[in-house]
Amino acid sequence: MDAPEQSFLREKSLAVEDQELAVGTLEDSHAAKPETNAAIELPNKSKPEKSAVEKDREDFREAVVKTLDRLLFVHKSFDIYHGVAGLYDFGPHGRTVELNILSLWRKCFVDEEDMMEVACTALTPEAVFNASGHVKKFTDLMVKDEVDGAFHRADHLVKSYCENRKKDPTISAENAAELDKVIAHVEDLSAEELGGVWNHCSTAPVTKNPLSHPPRPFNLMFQTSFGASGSLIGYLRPETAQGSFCNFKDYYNLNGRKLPFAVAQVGRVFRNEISPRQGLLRTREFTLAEIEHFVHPEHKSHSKFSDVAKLELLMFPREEQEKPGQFAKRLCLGEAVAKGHVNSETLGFFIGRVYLFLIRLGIDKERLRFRHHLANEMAHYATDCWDAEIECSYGWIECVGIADRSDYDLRAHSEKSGHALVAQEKLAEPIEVEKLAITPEMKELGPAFKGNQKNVVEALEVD
Amino acid sequence: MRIFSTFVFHRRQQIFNLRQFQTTTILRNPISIAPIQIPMDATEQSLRQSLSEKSSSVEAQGNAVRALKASRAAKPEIDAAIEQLNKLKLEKSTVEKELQSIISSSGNGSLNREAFRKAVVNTLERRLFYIPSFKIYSGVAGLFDYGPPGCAIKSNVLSFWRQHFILEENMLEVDCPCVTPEVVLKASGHVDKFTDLMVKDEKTGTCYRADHLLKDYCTEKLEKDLTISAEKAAELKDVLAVMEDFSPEQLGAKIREYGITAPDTKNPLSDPYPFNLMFQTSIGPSGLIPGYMRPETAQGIFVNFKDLYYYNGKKLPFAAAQIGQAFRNEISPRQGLLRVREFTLAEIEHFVDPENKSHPKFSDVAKLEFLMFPREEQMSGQSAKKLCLGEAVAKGTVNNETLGYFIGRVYLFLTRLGIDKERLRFRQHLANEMAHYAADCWDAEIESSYGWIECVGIADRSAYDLRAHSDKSGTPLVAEEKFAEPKEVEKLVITPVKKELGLAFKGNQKNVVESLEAMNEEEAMEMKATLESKGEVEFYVCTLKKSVNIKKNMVSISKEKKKEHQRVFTPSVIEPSFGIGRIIYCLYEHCFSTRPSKAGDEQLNLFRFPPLVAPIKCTVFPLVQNQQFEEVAKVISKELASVGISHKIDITGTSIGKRYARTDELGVPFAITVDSDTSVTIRERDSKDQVRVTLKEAASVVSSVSEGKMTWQDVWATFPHHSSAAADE
Repeated sequence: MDAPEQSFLREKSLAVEDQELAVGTLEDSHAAKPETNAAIELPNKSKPEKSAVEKDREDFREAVVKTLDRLLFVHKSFDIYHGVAGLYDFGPHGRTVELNILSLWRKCFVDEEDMMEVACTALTPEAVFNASGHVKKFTDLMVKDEVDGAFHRADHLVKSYCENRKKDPTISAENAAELDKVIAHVEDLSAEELGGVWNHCSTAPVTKNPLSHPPRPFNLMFQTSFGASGSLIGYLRPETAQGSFCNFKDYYNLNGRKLPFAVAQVGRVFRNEISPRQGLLRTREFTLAEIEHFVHPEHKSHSKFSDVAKLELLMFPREEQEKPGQFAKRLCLGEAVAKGHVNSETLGFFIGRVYLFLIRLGIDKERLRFRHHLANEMAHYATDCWDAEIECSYGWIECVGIADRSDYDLRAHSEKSGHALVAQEKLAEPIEVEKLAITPEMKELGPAFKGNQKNVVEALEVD
Repeated sequence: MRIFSTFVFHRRQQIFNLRQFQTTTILRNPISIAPIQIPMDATEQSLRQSLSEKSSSVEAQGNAVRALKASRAAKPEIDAAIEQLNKLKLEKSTVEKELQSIISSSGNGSLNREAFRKAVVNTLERRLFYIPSFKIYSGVAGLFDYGPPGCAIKSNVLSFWRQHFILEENMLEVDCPCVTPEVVLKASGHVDKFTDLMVKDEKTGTCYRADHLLKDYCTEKLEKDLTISAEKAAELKDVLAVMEDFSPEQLGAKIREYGITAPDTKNPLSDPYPFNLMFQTSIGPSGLIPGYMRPETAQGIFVNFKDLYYYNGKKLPFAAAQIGQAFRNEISPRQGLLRVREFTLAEIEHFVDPENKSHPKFSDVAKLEFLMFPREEQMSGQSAKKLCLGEAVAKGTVNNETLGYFIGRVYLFLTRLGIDKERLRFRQHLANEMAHYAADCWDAEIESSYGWIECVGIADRSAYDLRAHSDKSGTPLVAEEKFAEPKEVEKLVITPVKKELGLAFKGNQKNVVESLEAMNEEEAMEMKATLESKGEVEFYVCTLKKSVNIKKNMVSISKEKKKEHQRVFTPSVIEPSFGIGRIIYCLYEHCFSTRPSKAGDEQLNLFRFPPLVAPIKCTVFPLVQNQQFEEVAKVISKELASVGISHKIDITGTSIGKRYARTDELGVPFAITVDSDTSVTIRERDSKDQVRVTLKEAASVVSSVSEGKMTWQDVWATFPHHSSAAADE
């Protein structure tokens, strides 16, 4: 599984923000001592080279953040001990707002759509995240300031570098396009792919100290272990979905073995960010509300789609994003599905419901858009992905991810656990199907391949 | 107090004392939680004695018979001896049976209890109230998921908790992170003292809780081994009672003495050693910032005291509340849903002036009468008894009104949820069970198939927690009281004369100064007197571990009158702490029952949840499958949704009796059956009574009775009764 694909809240926000707003280049410098310096980030006004727009946004943000802090909506956790970066408390008003949002969420989704609400544990054994791919892939590339020991995200440095380069009026259009491309996908690139660009980023921001090389992946899950022996490794879940997938069979049976049905979960999740920035937008512990809607892959129509088909909302399809200078535009949801911009009615239905939910909460509908994932932004198995992005002083921030993940997760857990997480459809009439039958001849393969026989057989049998 | 009675740290006991119940539950006699000598039941004692006598007689007679046979005695003589032997054997077996029955009835009737528990747990798992987490990967002990009905019950319980405590008492609800840096839990004492004693299988490395193994050994011997002497039985009971106070060495000695080995492998065990129960992790990429998953939510509130106090306009008392997940890395979790590694806590920290713990609303609960189990009753071997809360506070049994008020509110909360008030008691902590700083502690214990389970801890923790964080963080977590008139107070002033002290003590000067300044009034005045009479004094400096000679010119001690405009003090904390998962599990047991099906051929399960907590309030059935009835059902369903009543519509063609049975087992209190297009019937789960109401009234009646605006008695008295012989199977 691609880390960015499923980690919607954390990965895409920055990439998006860049399309609208070039954030100050050396923001990373603030994170030089990330663990002890965790105040809700107030912009540094002394910095030069900021546009008037940027400055306005930062002043505005400062006013908001100060008010929130003063009225105890939200404040830094464990402040008397100087806190920890990326951890915040909700005070009384903040907590009440959160509860109100969650209760509207339950009403709009769980109650109205008759979903099953469940609550799985945050502590999760390693086997689950091995199967889901998190142990291997849920990483960010990290480098270390070789002198002061501060850690930086490699992609952030590369992005800053590219943004700075772009400001140089003498670079060619080709170069600029190249830089844009890097910026757009910087979070998905491997150490090798960062390649040439990385060589320009060999010093730390602010300190200009040398950086460790090459960037190495750092897993973003908090690790711990169960029991006294220490041999059973566990993680704090970085998303709630895996718990719902693991119990699929039970939920399916509870639903009378009928599809579609949806499982919803509201819960705490944890991500051990390398150097959390952006105040409340990137924290190490946060509440996720997730829905897993299980559907027959051949029937993704939705009986209530007509309820939302007439909605018109700001949408930013893939094709528009690929052309330079294009913006999100108002589209009718029904048409977007009919024209195939949105892959299925079910996906479209949820886009519509998310829109209605956010508007009802008080999100400005002019500053809310649904952005289509680019083809290379999506995991190979995903059918279609749209993010609800909300504009704020940090730019366009991904707040809801709506993805058709195909059968990837259930298949992964079926394979690794040995329990078939499948549904059955009883056919009214038996139908005749043509099936491919591959039967390796063990007798012949054995003498020919000896010890390798098993591998050859397995490779032959894979369809 | 079990493991760390010798330590200062008692936090773990008071918050929902996961320690205590281990012993309280398994022991048959509730008083045996007290570390005092338990008088053994007289009958049991005499039976054990008589059994051992009979055994000796049987053995002696057996020998006699064998001797006769060996000496080839006359047959009639042998026969007579054998007859005598059989008679003795019969007597022995009668005594054995009697003893067995006494043990199992005075015991928790463990077979019945286990069968009952099994029935409850089976139903809960089958209906997906809960699911062992990650079971497709064989799971992890002590982790459970809430399935849909369980999740609904939990959110009903929490929303009632919010209404009953937070809204009614105007508390400040906050939400702090679970990931907590080490420094916080170091200050609170958790890093050093939040431990259980563990032993290891020396060959396989498997870990066990040392006290569990000893307890299992003792209970098993007592329950199953009839041959042990009365003295031995008394000893084992005594061990069970006092093992909470055992040091690691004592526990290890007992394990060796009894020859206890690893349960599965019978391998030898290591000596007991402490194991910290917090899940550890590391924050950030450096690996240098150790963090823990919080084992309780309270610390997040304490460290924010200052902000919350300002937020409340610098007024006391006020309370902050938090509902959240807490984590404990149990060594070998047992007791299913009662001891888990991740659970929901709902905690209140009520901050109050230590000199004024009265409560303005105490009169609201003063007249309540319920089962209380004060310290004295526990010590003298009595059982819990019904007391009037007002009197308990007036007599000083409960330390103060605020504590009493919360006890009363907790009682109301639990009984409204559906906890049986006859199986709920408030047990006071024994003096040696409490931390030295605690003023008073009471646990709400609920009786279940595991015994009496501590589900809510209500503790007056005095100023301990705020002081600990003030000391370690350097931020004073204090409150101020402004005086209307400045008050004249006499204050002790100790002024060490640094110049003289420096000359006399050089490098040790600092230690001497600190010790001088730390003197209390009595010590200081005594020193002053000695200095005035003798000119010098021997003074013990604890940080130097020696006495020094203090001369008159080295310190000045006086009492000065000062005008004070305010008093600065550390507030006391009264902490009711709720284990939500435990309350819910006990609720499941209290609400579970079975009744015969109509045909009498099977037992049907039902959960008698009050509408307040029922996961679904109402089901809607068309009596038979037909288009017209289905349409009516949909109309009712829509109306129920619009008034916010959770419900399910069931249009399967199953017989109506089966559908009732299915919803009864889920604890759905009401069922609307559509049998015409103008009127419908409403059935109540527990009585199976039905009334007929018009189609228009249906949703509003169910809504009123679900939300407690009406009782079923009111409904029964208002609407025409409907009897349907065929309905309930």
